[in-house]
Amino acid sequence: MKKILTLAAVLAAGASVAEASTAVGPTVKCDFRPYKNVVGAGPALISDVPTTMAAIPLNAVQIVDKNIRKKILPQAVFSKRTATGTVEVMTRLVNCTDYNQEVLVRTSFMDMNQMPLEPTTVWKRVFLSPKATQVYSEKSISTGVGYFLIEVDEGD
Amino acid sequence: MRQISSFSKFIKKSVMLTAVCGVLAACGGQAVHNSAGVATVSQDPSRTGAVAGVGIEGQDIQAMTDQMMRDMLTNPMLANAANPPAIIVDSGFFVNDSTQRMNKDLITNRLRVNLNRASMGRMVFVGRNYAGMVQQERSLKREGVVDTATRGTTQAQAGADYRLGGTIASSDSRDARTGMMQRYTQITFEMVDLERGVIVWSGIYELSKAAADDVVYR
Repeated sequence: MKKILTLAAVLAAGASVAEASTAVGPTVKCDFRPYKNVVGAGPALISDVPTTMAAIPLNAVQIVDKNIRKKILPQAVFSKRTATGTVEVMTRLVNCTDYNQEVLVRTSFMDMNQMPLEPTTVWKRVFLSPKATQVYSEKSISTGVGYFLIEVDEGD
Repeated sequence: MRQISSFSKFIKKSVMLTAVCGVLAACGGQAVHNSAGVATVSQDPSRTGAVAGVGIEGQDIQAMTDQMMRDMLTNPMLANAANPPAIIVDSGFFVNDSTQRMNKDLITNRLRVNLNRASMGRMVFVGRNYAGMVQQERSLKREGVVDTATRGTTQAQAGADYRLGGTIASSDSRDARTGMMQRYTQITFEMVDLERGVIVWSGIYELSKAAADDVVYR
């Protein structure tokens, strides 16, 4: 009976995870050209004086250094509420090169009016192995987060 | 006559003194010739500075305390309790077992200050390091030397529910041929329940650095 219950528990736990596969995927290949054509339709930081600055998309990753613009690719951005009502943001970065990469990442949290809610987080160092992914995560201090901006800079 | 003579001596002395002061002032006002030196530069304390070695530096302290503070604020036991817990965050039980000499208060003070500012009353911080100062004032109030001020009196100073403990540890290695130095540093932070002894929150920060530069930490 105990064994059946244990098996049921394992199956139930397994049901909540996406189906796994033993297939071996190809080595990561990146094409940065489509990024140039992406027109952001979502929220963005824009200058009060029109056309003086390119819009900075919010709830997204901004690569601030040109040197790594064709090396590091943000695969996806996630956000969720924590148990205390603060917000945790994550981004999965991909190292498209054949070399180890080191980047600095930080996050700015804003309210629904795009007003800064708290000091920008301290630069966090993220190491990426060649052709591999790495996850950066950060938590807000405040509970009233409306928008966030993740900035990625070249490591110093 | 004697009065006039002493007066003229006083004038002479004053004139000489003024002249000496003038010369000294002129010397002091001249720019120091320091063309071989490096001009002072202000640096972003969250980035690696001009002098960097293999140890814990300013940017590491900022990064680790920021990470720990944000993590603690997601812990419901600490940041979402019905009654805000009383917490001690100081270097009293924060041990430096590493090979680097450093002031542990740099870490614990930044953590306490930022946590106190960010928690907005969700946690209450006990300044145990100020216990002597508080006791002095409490005694003056009870002896009637000063009045009780506006907040009233309590039976005793505040006790604490939790206290920060932790360890800074390191492992060094050196290449005898090249002189290259490598250090792995591990900093653990733990919030301990002061009644039951259980650890209600833990955090860890690790860094590994290698360099051949001759940097001295003090």
